[in-house]
Amino acid sequence: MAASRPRVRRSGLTTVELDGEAVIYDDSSGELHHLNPTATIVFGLLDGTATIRELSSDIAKAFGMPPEEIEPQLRSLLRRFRKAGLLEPATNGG
Amino acid sequence: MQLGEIRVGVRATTESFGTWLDSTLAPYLSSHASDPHYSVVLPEGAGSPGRRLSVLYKGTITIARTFSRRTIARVLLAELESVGLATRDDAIYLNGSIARGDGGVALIPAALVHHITRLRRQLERARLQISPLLSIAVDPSNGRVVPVAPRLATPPGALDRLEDAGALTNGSTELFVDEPLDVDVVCRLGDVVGPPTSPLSRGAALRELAGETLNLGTLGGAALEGLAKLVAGTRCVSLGGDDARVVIESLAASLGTSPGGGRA
Repeated sequence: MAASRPRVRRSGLTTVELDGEAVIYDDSSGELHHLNPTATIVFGLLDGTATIRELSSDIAKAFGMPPEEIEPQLRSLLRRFRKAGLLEPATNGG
Repeated sequence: MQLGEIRVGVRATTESFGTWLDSTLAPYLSSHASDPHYSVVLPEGAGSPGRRLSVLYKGTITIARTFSRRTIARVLLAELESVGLATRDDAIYLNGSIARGDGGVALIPAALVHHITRLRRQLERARLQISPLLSIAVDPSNGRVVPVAPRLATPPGALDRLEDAGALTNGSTELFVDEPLDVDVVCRLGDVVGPPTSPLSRGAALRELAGETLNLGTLGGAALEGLAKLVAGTRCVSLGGDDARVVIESLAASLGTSPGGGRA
């Protein structure tokens, strides 16, 4: 089974970034979301080209932390993004 | 009266104000009975200054308390205008008001207005003016607060024809948006048991303002982008506590105003 490559929804979201924090308006649900700086960085990386493991590795390097510590936190954050409807539906592997 | 699809009842306690209301809003008068949504309680004749206050209620909530009938009428017209703001797309409309001090202009939550305008003397000592309006317009192209463009068809000079008791007020605590304003400080409500003032990130302030936007569903993301222009150049603070005196002091300090003195 192919690994998931999470991608932010390409339509219906307006994202504004102020001082490293994103505020997102979802046209389809009318909901607003406010991301802290770390979540904003992750959100910006979700372009559908990297697997969760690759993302964990990149983030771990950037923050100087072991990837095995990052990956569970990243998965938890992705679950929250997905639950909020901010990601394209997973098409492979989940 | 009938405002589009919405029927609104307005009750006034004096015949003169009722007559003014009927002539000013004649196109919207309806023969259908409607429970009062707004009540305008005005003093009759002479009395002690304390008994000359005019009060505007929305249901049982006090919207404005002032010695000036003109202010009461203006706030009432603004309230009636706000009935249609959610579907308008000519500006960003949000629940909120404006405070002005020596150090600039603050955008404040609508919920604060009545809470702090009861303390007129304290506001005067803090040299703060508070707008009695509870909804404001923001130009999405530059983030400036602008006057709400009226859609209600009222006769020119209607407010000037109102018998006014304004001579009793110095008007120092009342402020209207008659020209575009740059906002210097965005204030949001903090925790009632929290510190009087705490910094708020611009992202959090933007999220809160967007949540107070009446026509967010109409404008969509354009409202968020317009509000970001407003917030980007401001300081953002959270005002805590539930004591109105403390809130006024915190607001004055946020605007660089100190009671009885110059900029802090």
